Amino acid sequence: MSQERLTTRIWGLFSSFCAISAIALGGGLVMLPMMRESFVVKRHWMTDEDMLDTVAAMQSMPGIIMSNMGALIGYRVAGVAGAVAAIIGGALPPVIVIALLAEAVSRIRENPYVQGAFAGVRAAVAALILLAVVKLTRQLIFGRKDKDPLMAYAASAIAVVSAAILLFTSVNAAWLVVAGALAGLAVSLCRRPAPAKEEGK
Amino acid sequence: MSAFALYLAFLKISLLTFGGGYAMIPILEREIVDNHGWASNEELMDYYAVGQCTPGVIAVNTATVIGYKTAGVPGGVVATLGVVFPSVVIITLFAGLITRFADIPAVKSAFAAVRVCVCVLIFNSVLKLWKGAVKDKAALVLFLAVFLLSVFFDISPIVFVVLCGAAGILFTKLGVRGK
Repeated sequence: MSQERLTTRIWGLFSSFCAISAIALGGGLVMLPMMRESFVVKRHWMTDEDMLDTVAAMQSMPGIIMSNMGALIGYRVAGVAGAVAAIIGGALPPVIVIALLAEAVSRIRENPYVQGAFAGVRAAVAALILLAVVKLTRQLIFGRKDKDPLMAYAASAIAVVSAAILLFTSVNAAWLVVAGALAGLAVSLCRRPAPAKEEGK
Repeated sequence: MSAFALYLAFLKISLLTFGGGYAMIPILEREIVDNHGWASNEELMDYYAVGQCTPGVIAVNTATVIGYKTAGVPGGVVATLGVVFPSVVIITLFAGLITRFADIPAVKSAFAAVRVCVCVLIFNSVLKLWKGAVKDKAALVLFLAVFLLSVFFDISPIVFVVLCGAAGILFTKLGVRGK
């Protein structure tokens, strides 16, 4: 990687993220295989392991997947300038496309057929999101049952308590997330007695 | 409502989003619909749907669309900048630390728990959005069909979106949509 000049790398980051963002249709995770193809396979800037570490780190940062991955990978490859280049590259396609399309779409929206289409799409999107969340929750709670029973039970408890809090109080979502983080910390403290067993691989 | 207000709102939304795209939905709802009144629940769903079908990741697309709808092209640019900005700051300040931070078992536990909370929050948001999405029997049929089909088959979301859009047009033509 040190063979390439800094400006080459920065431009590479910008163009790669631009291309990836332009092709990506759907949620943030869709980009992962494309990023792997671009940065691990083609450019050899990272290994698969680096990629996994990056994804783990990304999930511990607030913010959206695209810009977090851009910042992490960009920084690793070319410092702050790299991070900025990657993020701007990723953010550019949506801005351009929507600026071009949105005006046309606004005018079409008066049409009753278009409204019908949108009503259909809304129903589909609601179902898809619901299903994604159900799958995620099942995975979070039941997927770990064998590897990590304590966390699995804790997860079920946290889910029930959070649901109750949401239903019966008007607590801000952000506080719920903070409370969840604290609960997670509490769970890890309960684990203290057996760290030697886990770490001594 | 100024460009700066838009920028700050999306900055806040980004900072509160833990876990990517879907996790943004509850935060969007709170900020855009409840706090600022820049869109209704139903409109938010539409923007999200548009975000699914345009190039770019849903999270960024949704920000751009909302920004555009609220304040034209400058709004779209400003909202997008706001939503991606925190990542730059975080990485600049904490670069070396983040990977090490992510490896600490206590942190892993905390984030595993956060992910569960986020699921509950999203679930709650979907229920609210559901009211805006499934207003008549035709929509309910589509909702159930998509839900069941995606449970049993591995079909791309875009296929569903396109088919339901077409179904919506058909239903309108047949006069089936009960508004």
